[in-house]
Amino acid sequence: MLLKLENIHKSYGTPGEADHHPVLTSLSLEVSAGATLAILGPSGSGKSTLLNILGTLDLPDSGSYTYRDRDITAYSGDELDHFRNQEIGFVFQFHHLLPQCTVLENVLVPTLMNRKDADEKKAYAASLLEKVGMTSHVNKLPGQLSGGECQRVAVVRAMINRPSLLLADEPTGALDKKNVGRLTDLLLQMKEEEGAALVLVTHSDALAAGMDTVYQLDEGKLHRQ
Amino acid sequence: MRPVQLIIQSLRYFWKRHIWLALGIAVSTAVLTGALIVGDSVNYSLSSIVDKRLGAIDLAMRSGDRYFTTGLATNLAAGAELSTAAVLRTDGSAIAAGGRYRLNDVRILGVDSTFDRMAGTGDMYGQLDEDEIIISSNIADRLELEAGDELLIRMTRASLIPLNAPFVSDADNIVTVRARVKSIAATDALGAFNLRHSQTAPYNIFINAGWLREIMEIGEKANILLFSGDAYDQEQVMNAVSAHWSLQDAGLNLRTIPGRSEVEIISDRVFIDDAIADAIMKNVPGAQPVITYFVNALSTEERSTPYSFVTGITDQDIGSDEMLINQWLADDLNAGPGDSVVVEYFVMGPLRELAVRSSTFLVTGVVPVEDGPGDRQMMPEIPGLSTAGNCRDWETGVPVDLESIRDKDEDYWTRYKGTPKAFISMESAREMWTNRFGTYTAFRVPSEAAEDGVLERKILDAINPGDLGFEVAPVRVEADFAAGNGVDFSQLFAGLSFFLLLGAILLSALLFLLNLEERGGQVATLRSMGIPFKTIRWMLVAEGMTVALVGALFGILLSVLYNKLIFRALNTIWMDIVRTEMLVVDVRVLTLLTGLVVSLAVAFLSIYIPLGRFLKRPAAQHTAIPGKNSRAGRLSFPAGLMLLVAALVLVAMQFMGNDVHDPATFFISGGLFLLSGLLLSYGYLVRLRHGRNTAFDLPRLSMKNAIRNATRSISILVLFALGTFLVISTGSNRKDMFVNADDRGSGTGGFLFYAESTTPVLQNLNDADVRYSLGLGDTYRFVQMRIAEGDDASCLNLNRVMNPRILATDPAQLSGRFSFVTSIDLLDAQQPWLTLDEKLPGGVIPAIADETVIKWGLGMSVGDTLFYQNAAGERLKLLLVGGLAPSIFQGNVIISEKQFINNFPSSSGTGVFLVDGPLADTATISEELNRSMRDYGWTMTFTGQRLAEFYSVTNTYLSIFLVMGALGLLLGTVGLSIVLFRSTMERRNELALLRSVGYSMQQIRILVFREYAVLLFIGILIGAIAAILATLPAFLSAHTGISIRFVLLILAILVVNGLFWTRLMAGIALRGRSLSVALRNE
Repeated sequence: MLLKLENIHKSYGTPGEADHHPVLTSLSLEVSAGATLAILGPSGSGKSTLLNILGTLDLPDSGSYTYRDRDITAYSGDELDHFRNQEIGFVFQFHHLLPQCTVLENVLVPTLMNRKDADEKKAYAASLLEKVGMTSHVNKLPGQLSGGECQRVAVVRAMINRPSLLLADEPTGALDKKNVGRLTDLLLQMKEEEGAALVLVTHSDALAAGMDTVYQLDEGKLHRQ
Repeated sequence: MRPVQLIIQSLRYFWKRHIWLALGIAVSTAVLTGALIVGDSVNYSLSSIVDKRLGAIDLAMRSGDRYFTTGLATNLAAGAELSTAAVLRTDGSAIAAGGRYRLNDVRILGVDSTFDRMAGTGDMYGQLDEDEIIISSNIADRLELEAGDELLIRMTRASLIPLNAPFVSDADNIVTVRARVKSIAATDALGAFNLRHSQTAPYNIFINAGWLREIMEIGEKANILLFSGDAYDQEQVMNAVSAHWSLQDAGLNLRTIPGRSEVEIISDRVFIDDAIADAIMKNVPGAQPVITYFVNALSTEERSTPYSFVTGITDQDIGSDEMLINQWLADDLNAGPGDSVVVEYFVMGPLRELAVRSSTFLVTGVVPVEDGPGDRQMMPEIPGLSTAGNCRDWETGVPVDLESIRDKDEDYWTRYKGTPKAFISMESAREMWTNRFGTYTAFRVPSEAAEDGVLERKILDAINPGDLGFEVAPVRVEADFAAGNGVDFSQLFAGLSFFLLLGAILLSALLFLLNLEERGGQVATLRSMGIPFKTIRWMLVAEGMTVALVGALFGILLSVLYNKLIFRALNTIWMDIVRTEMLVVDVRVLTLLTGLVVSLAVAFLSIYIPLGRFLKRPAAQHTAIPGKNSRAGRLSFPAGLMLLVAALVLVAMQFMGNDVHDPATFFISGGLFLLSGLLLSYGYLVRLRHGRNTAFDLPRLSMKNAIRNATRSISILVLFALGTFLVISTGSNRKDMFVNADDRGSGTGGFLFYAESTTPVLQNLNDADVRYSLGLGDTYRFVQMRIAEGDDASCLNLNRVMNPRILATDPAQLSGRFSFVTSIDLLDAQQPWLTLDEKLPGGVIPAIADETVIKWGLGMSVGDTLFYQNAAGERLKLLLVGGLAPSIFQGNVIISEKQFINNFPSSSGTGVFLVDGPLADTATISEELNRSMRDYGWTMTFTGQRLAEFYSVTNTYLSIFLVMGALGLLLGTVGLSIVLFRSTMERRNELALLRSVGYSMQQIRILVFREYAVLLFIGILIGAIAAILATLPAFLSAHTGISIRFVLLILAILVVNGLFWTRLMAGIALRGRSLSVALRNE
């Protein structure tokens, strides 16, 4: 088992006040290594919150989160940073490439914290970019790329540290039809070649259909479809 | 990829945004470092001025109104191996171009080659011939003189006898000479020689000492002794003076009495000082005192003998109401033993007011004219009298009716000169004729007691030069202290530039935050990749600090330019606060480094603090205003109300107190108003944002937009509120001294004119005869004041002053005038001025000065004591009993004339005059006085103008403050423009959406304009209300001239300026094209 969420609760606002708003209630989830998983749900259902908890960008109010049998909720801030850097790859709806950095540099941003294998990482980045057809763009700035190209770079960036879990939050939300297909293929290709599990949050049934397992998030709980 | 690489890439990519941040930091660095450089430069300039005004001089001996011999300087130089220079100084006026140019308050300095040693000028001063002068460059400039030009100099006569001593003529007190300018003394050739601690160079005329002494007819005398060399301290030099001085240095002479085996001790000053008299009587056995007085008449019932000398003696057995008369008088009066003789004589008041007194004596004996108790040498040496060939040539200080002088009187004068005609007891003579200059006119000692210099030695051993007012001052040490502890321009300019500095720092922080907010997504991305907070923080700080370093380095360069601009202003439009043209820029590497380090530290804080708060918040909260239930939202209203109440209480207390308002209270109440305004506005905005029952319309949408970003909105509010507050309150404090100038309670005391004379006026100008003789009308009155020289303690002097000039007058003449702001219990609440006549235990003398002088000039407070040395060398303690509201007396300390004369008995005449007259006669009075008193070196100004001159300093400071405040507001406007532009650009999509749902471009422009106009208005309103409320007492006071129109004008300028930039930037940010691009993107 790669990760296991048990009885997760997460809410926003002040308990007892009018603005208190529970998002996740007694949510549990297990993800095996190399599995692919889609989470569907309406806006505001807590999909991104769940993804942020999985990616340790956010912490649950209660419940347990174990990753390869390690209790993630007990990690310190530094340990969480290290964990995220080494184990997680994020792909967002918007690419969030740093406009000041070239394509190659953007891909290498996650390696900033580990300079031991700099050359190897650089070669690996180049090979990944080659795989996604971006070799001719390595020295370009994000501003010089199309939206689809930027998103491909964002996927490569997510893979650079060979994560065991790839988290994608509406990765095709900002793309046209042609690019949606290309990006879906790319995510699955990357997942296959690099052996990472893929958790995808999407509105798109078509995208979800390509995953091993599909969950519906409704009223704070996951329902397998 | 290394973090450093990312930083470099970020710096390169965001360089346009960073430029604004760098400029903000450059401005704060320039302002801060500039202030430090101004301070250094002023300190350096003041120290340089010390070198220029003192040359090689380390110590100086001043002798009050006494003169010592030039031999003392020679003896000290030879005997004590001291480098000395004796200078004869008097004051006067310089007249050039046939009277077209005139300069008063000129110092005329008789110098010789020894002065060259002090000036380091080879033989410049020593080469002065008779009829030649060297003038200081400021005289050359003012009178447009060059070498070779002629100059008329009118000088106060240097007189060995105090000018107001009895029987001394007051005629010819002014001596006029014509001289040719040989050269112009540069400041580094001691042209600016000045023993007083001031940065303002005096007008100096250097004249051949021998020639000056000849003109003054005072023999080989001088009144300033300069010492060079730091091997001796003050005490050692004073001891050396004691060891080398002679009787002549003490103004004493010995002469043998022909026909008698006696030696007589007499004084250059006619009356022998009490200190010397006491010493003689105590140390010279057999010394017999003599008092010889010039009387108007000796009369019996039938006859009268005019103008005679009468002597009080001790060696005859005469009762207190008995008299011996000589044979000539006995014959003239037909009187003998048993007859009564009335002695009629003048006594002289402080300003030569003559009063006739008489005493009746019983004749107990008749003595021979010669070979009796009297001789012709008993007549004191009085110029104009003792040397006259006949009675009709007498020139005395008292009126002589020449018609009453008979031929027999002339015969007596020819045969016996001033041989006394009558003798009374010493006790009676003392009672009748003791005056402030002394009691005795001579001492007679048996000749044998004076042999081999024994008498001289005994007298000198008994007298200390300090007892006669001789004072050695370590002028160099004092000057260095005065210059080193003067006005701190670093602090002053940092204070004056406070708002500009604050504005620049706030703007820098705001710009950095704007940059951060734009890159909030990047931070989130980096976080999602597991880059730790501290690494992100470190990278952003490093990036920000790199920008800050560039900005600070540029700011350092800018600071030198800024400093040059300030110095140009200080040497021109702001010269009122420095009063010297000798200011030079002194840029020190250490100061630049200090400026750089401090600026970087400030920049670090303005980067680190917002960054820390930014990074700690979840991204969604980066731009949100706190909820109404947040602590800030909950507390802002009650806290604001509490501060408002506190401020109102303070203002009410100011109203209930006296008429004058404490600046500290003003600032506190102003600050409380400001803070309460900001807190209340903040609370209101929070409530508005979270309000439920309000209609949703375009203005409300504008308001909601305006407060969507708390940090930006509050920054803009603070910038404009603070700027408005400072500009208006500063402007409101500018003083118009011509308002209420005729009010007796104002700083003018209700007087029309303030005048000073270079040559002291010895007479009472309110006396009808004196006025007639001077050609003065009778519609105005004078208050005359005596002067004891001291330093100028007004705000015109940048040096730290310890002994301000003393002014003395009859306090009753100032009753009901001026206003007191501070006092101690001793000050009479009803008649405060009369407290000056109080006699306090321990010889302490009550004194009054301007509160500003007490507080800022002297660094003291009422109740403190000032220490001086009086004419007898005793410590004079002036207790500051009251502080005046700013007045025409600024720079001086005032005591009563009675107390003054007790301590400076031989002080002659008055030098400061307050003229009280009808406002309608101003022109006539001015013309009349300037004409009639011209020869006295009369300088007269309207009292309002004099106050305005002092206030020009305050007003100049306020102007600087205003300029800096305006620059700060300009920065605020720049900040507002940048925030508006960038916020609008950030929200293009959102605004484009409004466009897509049917809003017109005009509506969107109005929406954006209104958002920032609201913040601008609120900020300006808070600042304006706070400033007006805080200065309300001053607004309502009768003694200030605050202009409501000025305040409204400033407000209008602020609003128009703000609206202009808001409208302009809204227009630019919402240009059609940019929004249409956004629409397509959307």
